[in-house]
Amino acid sequence: MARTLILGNNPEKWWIKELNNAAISTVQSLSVNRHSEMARYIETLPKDLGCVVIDADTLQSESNELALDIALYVRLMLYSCLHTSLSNIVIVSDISSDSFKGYGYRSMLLMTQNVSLVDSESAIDAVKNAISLTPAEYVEGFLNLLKIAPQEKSEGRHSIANLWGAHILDQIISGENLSAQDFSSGNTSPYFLYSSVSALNAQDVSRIISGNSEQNRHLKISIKRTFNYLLIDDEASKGWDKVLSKLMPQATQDLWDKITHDYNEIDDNIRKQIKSGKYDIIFLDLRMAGVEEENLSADEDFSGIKILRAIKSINPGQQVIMLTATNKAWNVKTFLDLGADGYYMKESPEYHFPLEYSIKNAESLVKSIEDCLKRNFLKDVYNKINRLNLDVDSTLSALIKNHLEISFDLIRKAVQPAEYAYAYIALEQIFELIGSSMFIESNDKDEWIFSFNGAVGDEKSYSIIDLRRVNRKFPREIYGKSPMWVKIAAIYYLLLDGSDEEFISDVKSDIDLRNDYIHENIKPSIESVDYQNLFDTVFELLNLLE
Amino acid sequence: MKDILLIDDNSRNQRSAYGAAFVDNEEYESILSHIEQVPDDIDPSFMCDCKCVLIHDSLEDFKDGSFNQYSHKAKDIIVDYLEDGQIPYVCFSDGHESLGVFDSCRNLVSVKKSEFYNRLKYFLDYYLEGNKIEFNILAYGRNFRKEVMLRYVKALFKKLEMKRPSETLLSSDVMPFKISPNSIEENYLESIVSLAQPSLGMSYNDILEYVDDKEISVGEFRKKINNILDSVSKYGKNTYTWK
Repeated sequence: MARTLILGNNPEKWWIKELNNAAISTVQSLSVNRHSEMARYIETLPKDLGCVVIDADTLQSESNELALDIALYVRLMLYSCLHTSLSNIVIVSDISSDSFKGYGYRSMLLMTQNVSLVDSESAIDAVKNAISLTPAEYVEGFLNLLKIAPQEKSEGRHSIANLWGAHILDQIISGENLSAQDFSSGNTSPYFLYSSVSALNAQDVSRIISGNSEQNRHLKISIKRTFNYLLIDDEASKGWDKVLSKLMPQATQDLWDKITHDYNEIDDNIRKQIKSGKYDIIFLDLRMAGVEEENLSADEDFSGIKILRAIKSINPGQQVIMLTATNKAWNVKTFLDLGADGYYMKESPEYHFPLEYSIKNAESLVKSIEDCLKRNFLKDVYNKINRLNLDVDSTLSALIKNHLEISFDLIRKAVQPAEYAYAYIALEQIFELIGSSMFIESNDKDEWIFSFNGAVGDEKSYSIIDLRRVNRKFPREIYGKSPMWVKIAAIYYLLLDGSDEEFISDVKSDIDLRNDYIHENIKPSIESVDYQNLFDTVFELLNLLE
Repeated sequence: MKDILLIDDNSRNQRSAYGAAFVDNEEYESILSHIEQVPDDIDPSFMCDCKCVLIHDSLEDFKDGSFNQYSHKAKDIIVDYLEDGQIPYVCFSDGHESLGVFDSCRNLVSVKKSEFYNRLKYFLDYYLEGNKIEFNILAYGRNFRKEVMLRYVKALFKKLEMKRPSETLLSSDVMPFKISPNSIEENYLESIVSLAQPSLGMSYNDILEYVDDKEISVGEFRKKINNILDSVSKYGKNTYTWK
């Protein structure tokens, strides 16, 4: 006889006494819909049972639903119960078998393989003949015959999807296996547990019951520096606050988790912090008004879209990662068009993603976070562009600003190397503009004529620059070619009466890279340029001209 | 006041999500009125003519133009009033169980909110058809007769659980125990027989006599009771004849 455990509340029954070798586990105070209690109880069962007997008539319930529920949890909690989930399940009841019908998917369990409903007279034979399912039978004779939908309508579904999504991400970044342990009340629902096993194949089942389930990857953000982020998500408490903290332990989290219809409903203090640029990244949920947004047809009406639009209008350089449970491509297009810098698809138990997808999804989030942290300087760039007030010719000023904005936009959206290249060239072109607009070659090879405001013809604003003085620290053969960087060095010298070798060196290497990219057959890698440093160099130069 | 009053703050518009938009669309306006915003100093006397009141167990007080999730004075005032006036009531909430729980006065004091709204339409239709308040519909759903019968059958069979199917049944086996000198167990067999009429064709006392006279086995007796249960499950009423 297979190792048998009887779940019931009366060990003195005649048929139980005749099953000499069977152990008994009392089932007190369980009830349908108290999912976490049920899961905790089922987790205590031995992992190697060949037969689980449920003495339905002794359970403390007026309905037959509880007996079916226990059987269902034994089957579904594969990650916790291991072999026991594949055991033969015998439900013993002297009440008519027809009365076990009408409980939806719970009743469907009776149509699956190796689950039997017998009266007390047949119980002993049923136990003696019990055979466990094979992994293939678990898939074909159980999973494929059962379909569990969310218990409640929209709000419950949205809520469970959030629990599920956070749970999946948590497991992947922690490098842990899926387990029922530490589940809160919501995510031990039959729907949730069903979703955790429904996409498995026989090999997966074998691996799990043998304890060799594939270890997920341990993901972490590679950037070590501390930073701040804001999570705007009405479902944050479903696990998103914790999972993001786990993913970014070096960061400080602020949270806004109230139902919110648009930006102005966010707390004043948080809005002040957003405006001040406190946050390196803002994580923003697409639907912040829960069930009210269930039937919205226009993407523009989603609360998250309205909030995104407001944040980006304050500073388009503010890095925002959208969190969304949507699987609709047009939703994604809308928030990307509005400037979202990344997004994470909250996985829903309704879409049976394979583990490989979940890992890629999580890796993609990690990359989005890292990209956002790298591009976070754009927030300051945007402020600097807006504050720029150059004391140069208005045409030149407009051109410089235009190039800054082009470069800003391109870097903000850049994905492909060519987009970085255009951004780089647009930015570097500012050196060219300044050099060619503000300098006039003199007849004397050691002299340039420098126009302070870039307007040719106004004699009062001209200065003669003695290049020998400017470049006494630089080799003559270099400045002898009249390179652009020497002109930039000249500005520095002229305006600050000195030289900054590091600055000049940065300008020189930036210009050299640009020349190599444009003129050489083998193009240097331009997407890995330190754009923050490049913008700093450009603004350092522009500050001289303010 | 209309016969049935629904009091639910519905602050997150869950009614629509639970498929009960018919309430706000006033599809049952002839019998059902509904209130969403209830102040904490409500005078409940306007409910005096109600046949029953259906109230959200976590009803939030409405004050200064908004709901206060930490204040539930109005709900307590209303329930006290209903109990004093013996007006039947139902309490529903997200935290409650799917299967309803009745108190000794047959008020339905606990049922899950989503299930309540799932079942509300049938409850209202049933009232429209027969002018009868049937809380069992809200407690158990459309097929409430089966659940009510099942409850009695389970309790009756529990009295027999130590007996082998082949053992001879005694009428004393199925009669109610004396719980204490002053109280006696609910008579489950009598309830079953009552619900199984008129098709059953035998009274409770007839059946007790039958049991003693015919010396039927426990297994045979269970089979007969199961036949009644199956009949109610399938047809919503008993069509089975004892003999």
